[in-house]
Amino acid sequence: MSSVDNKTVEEKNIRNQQLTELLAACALNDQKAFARLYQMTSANLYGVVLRILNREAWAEDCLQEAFVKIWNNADRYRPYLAAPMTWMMTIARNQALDQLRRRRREVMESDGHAFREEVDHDPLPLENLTQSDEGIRLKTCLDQLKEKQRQMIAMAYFKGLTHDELANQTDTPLGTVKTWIRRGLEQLRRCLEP
Amino acid sequence: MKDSENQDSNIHAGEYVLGTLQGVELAEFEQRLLDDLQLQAEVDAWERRLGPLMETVEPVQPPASVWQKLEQRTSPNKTASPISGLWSNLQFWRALGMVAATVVLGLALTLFTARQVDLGMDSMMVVLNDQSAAGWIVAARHNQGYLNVKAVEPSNLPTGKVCQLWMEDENGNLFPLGVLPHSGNKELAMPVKHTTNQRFMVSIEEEELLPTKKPSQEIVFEGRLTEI
Repeated sequence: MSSVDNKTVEEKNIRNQQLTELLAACALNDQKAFARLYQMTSANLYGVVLRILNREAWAEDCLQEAFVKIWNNADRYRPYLAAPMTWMMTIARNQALDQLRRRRREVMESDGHAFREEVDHDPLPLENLTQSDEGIRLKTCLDQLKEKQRQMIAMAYFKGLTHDELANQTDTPLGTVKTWIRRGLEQLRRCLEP
Repeated sequence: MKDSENQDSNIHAGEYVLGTLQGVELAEFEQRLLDDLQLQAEVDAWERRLGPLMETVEPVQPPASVWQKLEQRTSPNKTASPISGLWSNLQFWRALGMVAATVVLGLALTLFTARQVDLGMDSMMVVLNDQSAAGWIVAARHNQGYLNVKAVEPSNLPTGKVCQLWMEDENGNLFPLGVLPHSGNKELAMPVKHTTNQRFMVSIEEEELLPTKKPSQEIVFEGRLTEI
């Protein structure tokens, strides 16, 4: 099946509309709207930050900071630029990656040892990428990449690993990592926007 | 710009969103991103393209404590914010029934001296609310082009009404500075740098019809910033 069924699309549209309205109300300091927004989205956002940080205490702090940012910046949300969930998830992901990089730096500076990464054996479970048309399109395009390229993209996306760090963690020459990522992104873009 | 350069920019934007850029490349990219609208649009486009990856993550219910802390941090009436000390002292002050602006000012000055360093401001004013209690703290720095406004206990206004702040310079020229926030902090740009001769006023206006030349309603508060 090439697209999600009509009922799911309709439910998603209604949810997006609700979230957009709640963000607009948050911009006017409506506390009740904020509570409802949290209720509707916190499990998704917490899943993402927990996936990136892998430690509950950090993820809880991070979720809190992400929602404070969402509350403070609700007036900057533009529905024509991104779906409300994408906007909120992006804030949460960036918050989590910032925190992860900061912790890595602190560990490196304090004892000179590398930060202990939590091992993620299944970096990109693509079978879950079927909840939206955008997800299905991305899955189709990711399926066309080499396994190694897919893994690199997933590790970078969910662990915020730089080219150097990816090279170290996967025992791959730096030049190869850069080429794989580059070509992977070019292929993805061509496939998503032919 | 050549096609190859466009393509490079686009792929760099992808690498930036992915998180793999590092060192000089990252610094240069972030520098360009500050004022390159095309590049900002490319970053947005990559956020959208890769965003569905987050759908692969199963939702996890966060513990209730996260919401409790959040509620405290975002609610203007809760006491977890850094101004909790000031807040409790203001309650004390209100209980004493002292409503004269000068007294509020004096007390707030004392209370704020401790926070003066991290605020980085050197003069301030307390704007009274409709209950004659401290509604907002307005802080400024000499020769700086903006004011820092913190909502303490803003007036309760009917829907559609807001408190508009005005500045009158030493020559009697009036300037609208903006709307006082209902909660949290807000920076209001000044048309000229702050000096000790400026007077400030507040009028209650229609949110949709803010006057730009002079207040359309009566002035409900008047004061000056005092050096601390």
